[in-house]
Amino acid sequence: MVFTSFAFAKFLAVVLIGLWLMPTRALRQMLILVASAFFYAYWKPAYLLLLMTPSLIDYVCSIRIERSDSARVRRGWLLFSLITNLGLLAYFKYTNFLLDNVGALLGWQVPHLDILLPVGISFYTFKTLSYTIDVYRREIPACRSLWQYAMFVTYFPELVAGPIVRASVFLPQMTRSLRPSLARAMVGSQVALLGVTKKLLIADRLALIVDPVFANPAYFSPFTVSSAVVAYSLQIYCDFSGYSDIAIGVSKIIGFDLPENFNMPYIATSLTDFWRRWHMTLSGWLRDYLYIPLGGNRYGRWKTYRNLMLTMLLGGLWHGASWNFVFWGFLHGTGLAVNHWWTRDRGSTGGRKAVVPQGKVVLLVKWATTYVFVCLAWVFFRSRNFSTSLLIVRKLFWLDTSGANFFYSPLFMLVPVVVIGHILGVIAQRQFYAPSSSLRRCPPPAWAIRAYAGNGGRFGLKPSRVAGVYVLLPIPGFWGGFLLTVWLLVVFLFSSLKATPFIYFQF
Amino acid sequence: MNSPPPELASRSVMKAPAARFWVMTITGFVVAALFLNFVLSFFVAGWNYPKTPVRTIRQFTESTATSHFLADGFGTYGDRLTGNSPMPGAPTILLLGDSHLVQEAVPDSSTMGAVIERLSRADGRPVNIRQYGWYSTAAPTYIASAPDLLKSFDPTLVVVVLNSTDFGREALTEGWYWQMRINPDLTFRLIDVRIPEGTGRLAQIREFVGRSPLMLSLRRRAVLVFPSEGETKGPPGPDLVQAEVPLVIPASVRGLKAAYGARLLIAYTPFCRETCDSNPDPGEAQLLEACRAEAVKCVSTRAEMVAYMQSNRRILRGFHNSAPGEGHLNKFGLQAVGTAIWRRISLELH
Repeated sequence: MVFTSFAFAKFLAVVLIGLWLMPTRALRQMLILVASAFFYAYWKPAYLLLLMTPSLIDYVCSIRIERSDSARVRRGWLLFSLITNLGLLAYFKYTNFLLDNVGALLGWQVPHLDILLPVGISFYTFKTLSYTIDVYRREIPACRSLWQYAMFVTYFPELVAGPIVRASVFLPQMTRSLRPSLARAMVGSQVALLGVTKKLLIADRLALIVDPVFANPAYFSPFTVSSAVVAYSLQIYCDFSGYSDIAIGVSKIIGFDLPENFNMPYIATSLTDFWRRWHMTLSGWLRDYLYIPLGGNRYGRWKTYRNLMLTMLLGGLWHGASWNFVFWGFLHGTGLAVNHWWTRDRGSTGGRKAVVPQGKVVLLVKWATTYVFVCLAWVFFRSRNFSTSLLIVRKLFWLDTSGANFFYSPLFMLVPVVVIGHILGVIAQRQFYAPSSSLRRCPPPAWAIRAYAGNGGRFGLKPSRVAGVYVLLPIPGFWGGFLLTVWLLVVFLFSSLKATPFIYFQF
Repeated sequence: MNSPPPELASRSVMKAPAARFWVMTITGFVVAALFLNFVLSFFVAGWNYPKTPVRTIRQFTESTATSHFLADGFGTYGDRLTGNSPMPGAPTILLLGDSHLVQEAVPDSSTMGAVIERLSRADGRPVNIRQYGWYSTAAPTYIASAPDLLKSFDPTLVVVVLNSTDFGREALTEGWYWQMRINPDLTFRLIDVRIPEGTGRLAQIREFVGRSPLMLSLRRRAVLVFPSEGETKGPPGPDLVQAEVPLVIPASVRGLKAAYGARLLIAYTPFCRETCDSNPDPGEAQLLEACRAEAVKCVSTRAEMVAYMQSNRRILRGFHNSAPGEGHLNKFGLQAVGTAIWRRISLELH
């Protein structure tokens, strides 16, 4: 059940009405659990068992871990949980990849196993892993209520493609009433509508140029291939962050606040900055459960580089069983190591830190370098195989000038839309949070700030406590009605008719 | 800039708004609709309004073109104008086809007929083109329209432009306007599935919708987003017609020959997407074979399209706002197809 389908709209309406009618919080929690099970079973009912089995195991393991004072016993239960979760993930996601590579090494023809990858397995595995590890570290108490724990694992808005919500964030919110209110609905529906817009109006539109070019880059000229690479950088961002927005918006209506997953990643001025903004719940997970346990940056520069590389290689492999994803991780690992060296280790002797140049031009160069590098890495992420990636890279560098020219105008109309969205986002963040150093050095234009906060507050796009960092329309009011109408009609009239599944569903 | 206290910032959302705010909100809705109606008027115009002899259609689904039609009762909208002045005394050639002959997505001067007229005039053998396209249709419609077309225009040649969609169920059960049922001996009967022109209240509503670019856009979009069976297909087709599918090509060729006689020329346009194979596809080979068997003049535009793609490095389908290689022929595709048809027509004109 795709978020942008009519089936999901009907499903959500039924759930919300049900939540509103339920007299007690416990019943509402039960309803959400049942709805989540239905949501997952709608795709393939048998895999609901697959989802429930490790959940049950983790539920038991976490209680055993908490109860025991013996380090050996605690470690044993943790290991059992890890092996179960990672074993299932490995079997469903990596078996055929492993067979392929073993076959290639030995020169054998190894047949593929008929394995259908369960939707969202990478996401919910990481979610449950973090829970057990947190209980093991005694950072959170074990959840004693089985249905509350099951609800945490199966919670439908973020079940199949994140954000990867940790138990420490989700479970404490179980005390909320979970009864939809007008105030939360007004915020949540706008956030969800933003996500739908990103998906249907931008991502699916851009897929029209991305899909054919990445399928057959040889047929297209360097200009068209370059356009498609830029289009893909926006498509994957709007597709994935759109999904996250819908999940966050729907959750806000229900009564949960999910963590942000994206924070304008393409304004990043370094690769480190990019990973603080892109898929934040995954990068946070990798940091807390992989990079830091490996040693982080505590044991010298070379071990830091090694840890960065290992983290990104595994991060790449998490996305999919393909060498292309591994290479994508390798590129980012290398980039992060170089970034680390450039900003911290380069020329640093005797405790003296490296001198990093400052200024607007330098900032612009850093931004451009980061964006170009990220786009180059996306080529390997998106291509179906390595040879296609290399052909695209050759076209990008004008080493192969063959192919037909095709000008895709929506790309050039949607780039300004995304830029304006980012400007509004930067302004909203400056209102709500202390600005980061990079924002201070590159402030938004004065007119934008005036339009945002000025005009006597009549045209104020106000961030709110409920909305978090989201910019909301001033509803009710003239401008709110005007902008909302234009927004809805533009989405309806100009969205792509060719519905494409969310990119991160495949992971 | 200091951030507002969260309590203050959230108050506008949390407190119950006054009634006048809702009045302002509704005013905002109305003004937005009027605003969009004005903006869309530059990109959207419907066939039904205004009811002048020459109708203008504007759309933004494929490209953002303005097209003109002479409403004379043939085709979905009428004679697709070429933008060229008719040459007195020059022979008339009819081009018939499906939506590829409606050509809403290109300006008049880029249509297939305009290309042929230009080439003929440059060659010193001018022709006047009348081009008619019917949406979602196939040979049965061209056969059924033959008597009236021949009587009205007495053309020197009738070029029927076919593609692979004409070779299947579109001719039998899924096409609009006219369908056919084919007997094993290739005799057939035509079935009229035309939807009568609306009258009374429905016609008034349609005309009213046609006057507003916003409402027309919403209606066009709704048809695409929520396609109803009645609008996309003819009467439900039982699987019984599966046996008739292989007979569509020979029956179409035979029927077109009977309808237009020696004036008939069938032009086949392959679906060249990002690339184009030089070899004929199965339907094309079968069509050319049927043409030989019935002694009907046939031409495939494939060679010209392949050559055009290779020499000009252009894709022949798709527009600047749609997927490359998908959809209707663009101006490059129409140029290549028009050129191929003119080369074949010129052999017939002495």
